[in-house]
Amino acid sequence: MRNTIIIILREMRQRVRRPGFWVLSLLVPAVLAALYALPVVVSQRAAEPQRVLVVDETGLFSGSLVSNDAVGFQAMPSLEYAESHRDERDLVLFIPMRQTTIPRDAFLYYHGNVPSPAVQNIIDSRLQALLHDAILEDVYGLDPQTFQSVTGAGIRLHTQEAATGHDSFLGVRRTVGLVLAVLMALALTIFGVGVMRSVQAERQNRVAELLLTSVRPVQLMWGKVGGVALTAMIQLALWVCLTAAAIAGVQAAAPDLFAQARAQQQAHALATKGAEAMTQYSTPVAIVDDTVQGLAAIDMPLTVSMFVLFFLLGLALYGSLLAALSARLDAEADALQWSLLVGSPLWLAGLLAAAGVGGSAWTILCPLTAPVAVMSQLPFGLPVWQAAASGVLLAAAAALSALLAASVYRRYILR
Amino acid sequence: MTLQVDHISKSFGSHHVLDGLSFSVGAGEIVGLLGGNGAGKTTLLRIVTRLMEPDAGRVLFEGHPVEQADMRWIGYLPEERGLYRRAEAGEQAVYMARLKGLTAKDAEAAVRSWFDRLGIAEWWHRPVGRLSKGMQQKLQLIVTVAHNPRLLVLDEPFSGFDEANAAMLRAELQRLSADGAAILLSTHNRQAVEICHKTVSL
Repeated sequence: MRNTIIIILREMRQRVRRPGFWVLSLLVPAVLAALYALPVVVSQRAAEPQRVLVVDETGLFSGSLVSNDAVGFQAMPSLEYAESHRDERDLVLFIPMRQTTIPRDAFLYYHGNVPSPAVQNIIDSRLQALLHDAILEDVYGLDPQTFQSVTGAGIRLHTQEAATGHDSFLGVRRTVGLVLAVLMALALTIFGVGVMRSVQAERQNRVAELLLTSVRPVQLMWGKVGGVALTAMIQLALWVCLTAAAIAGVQAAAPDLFAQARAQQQAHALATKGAEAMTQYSTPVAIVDDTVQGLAAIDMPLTVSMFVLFFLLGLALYGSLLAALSARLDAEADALQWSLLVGSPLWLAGLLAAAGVGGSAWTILCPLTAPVAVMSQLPFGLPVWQAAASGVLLAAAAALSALLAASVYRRYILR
Repeated sequence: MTLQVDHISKSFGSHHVLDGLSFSVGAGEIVGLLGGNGAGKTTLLRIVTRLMEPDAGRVLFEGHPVEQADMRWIGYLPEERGLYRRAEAGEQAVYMARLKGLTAKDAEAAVRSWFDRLGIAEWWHRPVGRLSKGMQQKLQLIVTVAHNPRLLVLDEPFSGFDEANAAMLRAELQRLSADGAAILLSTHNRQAVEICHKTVSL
């Protein structure tokens, strides 16, 4: 045990000292913060409203298309007039006259600058809404507002666990489970390959022969896995803390920018859903409320603890399998290719989780899929016996694979 | 006897490398293993250090079959030298000494004393990859002896040494032997044979 701890600390120190560790530790939060801020900045830059010149031969739309912050509609008498009076960025919306009373086509002309999906969405939804209103009034003689109040009376389907009678927010739980599952698969793949490369390096610089006269192969294996795991935990903690700090910093640096963006997003969402039945339940505010309540309903300390536990056990299993592979194969490129095959159960479990069938007992109990499967099911409240059985089986498999890896290591590392 | 090699045999497929080999090394004795390439010198040294299992026979350390715990008292210098190239010289030697059972404090004291003795104290913080070959060989020797072993197993210890360093190594081995260490070495070097109390031909 003493020697294993010495190896763990050395492996961790060597990794943490590398400039690459700190570059990655700082770069990832910076990139994530940039990804968070970039759309807001870009949306603010593109906030200048898009002018749309409307040539409506049907007369159904031009007077009723209401402008907003994103799109400004301006009626034009003819296509030729619009073309001759347009600026470079302007779009031209042409709705031709047809024999029937109901127009079927509209054309959006652009010159060089492709209209954004958001602008297309707004124009499309406005046209649909006006067309529906016109049909209701002219063809069926119904008042559109009365009709909308009837169709807008939606039923909100609550998913509740019968025993508690509380909303279970299945959508939020599903999303959190999927994110955790993908994170787990990614972390095990990245850091598992770290163990593999460490074994390759010791094989190439011939230190292994010297080490094996001092420690047992299994101690060396656990030391390597432990060192990589410890480094991983430090790096993950740095990523979480620094990303949170970076995002908070970005928000604090330009609070108005983000508040404005939030308001615009809500306004845009309302505008694009103008034709739909907007109920109090489908507004962005209600969706955010649901998400917040859903997240609050998840036991976060338990989820984080389980993530750490299953990551460590998973790394012990996959790290030793990959280390054995690395000791057995001569070329690093071969080892990397095989590592894809070894890691495939993780991604299979991830795919099953994405398809909503990740909770079957065999994926949770099978050690190769357990780290990902457990994470995908944890937000739904995994039964204690399943979590415990899965952890025990995974630990047993990790111990066995370390013994196997040690045996392979001893046999092949000196070749 | 510090080391007894008792009827050791080892084959790789149909190739018999060692066939019932027996000899012993007493405390303070230097024994040289002689033989051409492929004679089985490295194989024997790996069996003595438990890196390989013999097909038959046994290796005794101080009267009992050599076990993992005995490795605390055995120093091994492999033929293909191996060090972490990015690690600092002193830190690496301390790490290896700690794996042999020394406390961090004792390991550092022992390694510093050897660095002074071999005249490389100023290179303590230098990464191994940036040391000259001669320096690396001295460091490898320190890694082998810093934990004060009772048995030294050295595979071609003079390989790659220039004349001055070879003379230094011979002197150090004689000093260690005088202090009571049993030394088993394989060599092609005639001058190395001169310091051996006896030789075993393979």
